[in-house]
Amino acid sequence: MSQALDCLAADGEALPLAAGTDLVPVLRDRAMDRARLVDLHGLKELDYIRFEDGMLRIGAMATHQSIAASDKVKEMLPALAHACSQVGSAQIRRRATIGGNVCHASPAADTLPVLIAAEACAVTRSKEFRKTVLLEQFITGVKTTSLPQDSLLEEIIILIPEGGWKGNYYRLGGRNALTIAISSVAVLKGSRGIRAAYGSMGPTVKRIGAVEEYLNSCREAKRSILRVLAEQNLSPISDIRATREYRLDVAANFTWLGYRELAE
Amino acid sequence: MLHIRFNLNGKDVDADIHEGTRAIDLLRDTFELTGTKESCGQGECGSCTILLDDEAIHSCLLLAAQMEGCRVVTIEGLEKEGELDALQQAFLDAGAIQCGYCTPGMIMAAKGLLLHNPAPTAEEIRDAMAGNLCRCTGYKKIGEAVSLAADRQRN
Repeated sequence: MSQALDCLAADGEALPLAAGTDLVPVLRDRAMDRARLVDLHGLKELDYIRFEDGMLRIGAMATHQSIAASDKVKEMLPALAHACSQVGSAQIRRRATIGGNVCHASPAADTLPVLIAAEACAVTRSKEFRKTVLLEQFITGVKTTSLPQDSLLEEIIILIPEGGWKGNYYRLGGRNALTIAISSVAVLKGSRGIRAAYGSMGPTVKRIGAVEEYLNSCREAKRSILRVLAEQNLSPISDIRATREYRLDVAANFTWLGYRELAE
Repeated sequence: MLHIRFNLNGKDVDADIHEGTRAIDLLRDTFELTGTKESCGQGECGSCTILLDDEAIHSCLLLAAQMEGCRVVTIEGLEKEGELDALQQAFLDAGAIQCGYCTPGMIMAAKGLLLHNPAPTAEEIRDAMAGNLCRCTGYKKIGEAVSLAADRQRN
């Protein structure tokens, strides 16, 4: 870790490389021979999933496959295990890391709705500092984060309520594998009520306070109201994969489905 | 430039590479192992699948430098002393080939599966192969070929 941080601090243009499943195709399309990369593959100390002091701690180099298969994750935050099983294909899940998925900060990243709904924190390290920030604030825009160039994401921390986070992750893609989410929603329930976070529905994955207030106070959630709240709070694009209206319909329906499944 | 060493199809090899050289380009252009195909170049089709330390991965999403110290197997490394691997034979016997472009990637993805799970269910086969696209035909015969190879290897 300290060696990797030295390399980043010494070269202001160096990029950290986790598995490379997002970065390598980008590099191919640019002048890749000039790329200066710090390969993090040797950082085995960041490949862990632990439960300590009521917190689930996932090292940045833990792979999607290991998170999807983890009994601890399945027990405490099953929606995250499911989200990780939905990423790319077996070839990608085997290598791609949660740290890479979070730092790539795609609006369609599969781990982010669950992590943000569960109020996860990102722990970052530079040579001097170790900082903890709420993940929702760590991600600042489409594929941008507040991570300084000389720092690395060390781990993701999730506070686990008594009995674990209930609820699930819902995503719609064009087919089963190798597809980017058209719309995705995590609907979770912890000790302070229901949380809902949305992917592929705007520049960043985010929670909607108005939806959470409604779900936590209504006697029975109505799809029509969830559709209005989605329209008021989300800003999806229309593109080749789906129209804005369709994405809003899907997000509202997934929210309703998540609410119903939590009630069962 | 970087100097890397790794094991390729059972032989220790080394190469001088640019930092940004992808694994697939080193395998195809330098080592002339053109069985590994490139189609999409972004991890969406699986035709570039190889084994890296016994795990099926995409060689188009891997830098050559990331192979340092690893055991790499390509489709050319499956045949042993003139005898086809059980998967290669099963793909032939089950008629799981049409144009053949996706076949090396399919076989390497299946090889990775069978190394970890010698008796996969039909669903486990589908899940392991979901990252490999075939544009000629359906996937039924491909799934049957993997099943056949697994059966033959166990018996």
